[in-house]
Amino acid sequence: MTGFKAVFKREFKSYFTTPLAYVFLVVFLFFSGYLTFKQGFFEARQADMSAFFMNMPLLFVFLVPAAAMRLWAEERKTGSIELLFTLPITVKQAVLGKFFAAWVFMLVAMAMTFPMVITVCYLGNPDIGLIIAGYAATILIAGGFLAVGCFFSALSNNQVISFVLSVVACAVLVFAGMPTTMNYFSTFLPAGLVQAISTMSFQGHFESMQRGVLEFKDISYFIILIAGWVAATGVILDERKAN
Amino acid sequence: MSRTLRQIAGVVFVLVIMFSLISICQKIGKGIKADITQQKIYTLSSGTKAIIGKLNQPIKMKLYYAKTAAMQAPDNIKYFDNYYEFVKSLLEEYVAQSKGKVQLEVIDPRPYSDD
Repeated sequence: MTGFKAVFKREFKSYFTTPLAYVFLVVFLFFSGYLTFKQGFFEARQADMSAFFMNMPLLFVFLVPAAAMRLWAEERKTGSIELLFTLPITVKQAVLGKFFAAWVFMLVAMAMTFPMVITVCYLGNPDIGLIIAGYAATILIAGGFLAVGCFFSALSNNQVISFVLSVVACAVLVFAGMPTTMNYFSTFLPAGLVQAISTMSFQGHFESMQRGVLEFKDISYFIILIAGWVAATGVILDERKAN
Repeated sequence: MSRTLRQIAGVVFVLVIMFSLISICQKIGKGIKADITQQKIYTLSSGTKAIIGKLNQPIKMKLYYAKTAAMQAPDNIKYFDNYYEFVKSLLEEYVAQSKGKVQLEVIDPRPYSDD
């Protein structure tokens, strides 16, 4: 537990000692606001945040891997990974510490979108339950992307390679559930397989959570996905450390 | 066994477990949900429940939605897809509440077919 805390603290602070955190936050907040109003927030004449949450998966495909790419790739590049693993901490503690530090950083970014909530509350009388469900879905999807980003970051010691690979992986996970892709698949795959592909995709689960019903199948999907990719990161690093 | 091979085997193993667990959870956790909307739009009112409880003959409901046609449409058809999902989950709630008295048939109309 102390090892986890130490890695977590070190990683979380390192976001704010480099310009990375500030660049990330500014870009994220600008685009989340810009896309919301561009896609007809006022034209919809509804006091809800669906226009805001709708863009989150697409925005996160590019932004979350950018926050995750340095987690392990940088340590491997500079060689500090050798030092890290000679310290009295286990691989599990290091992997979890780094992952949760990045996730809490994403939480900070999400918390900074509070003016959107205030705007909606000022303009009308929104359903608070829907907003909470939307934020929960967004935080879970950010965690899923981070776990994928963590894995590809551990795979390569080049940050650019890990960024590109995790963007591709995240994009596949999101776009597999889009209607246009499903249509393309349904031309040559059996219906059951198309259904399975859409079950594995982020998009369907994200949209179903946004409706305001917290279902076991959606929440378990995200938690298992996060646990799976984080465990895969652990396997990669364990093998590097072994012997 | 070489280290790279062990890494690949380990990762594949973890990912296979992950996908199987997800598939299992999709099946077992169908009924477990919490409606956190303020107006409880996905929860049946007590009046509806009373009427469903008093049913003495089976009722068959048919829901028509051209899902295949909607899949081939551009992405902005999503709005109707969302509404279809809302209606379907509401009707499924009726079915779950009625202890087999209410049956739901979802029909996906296609050109040149029986439906």
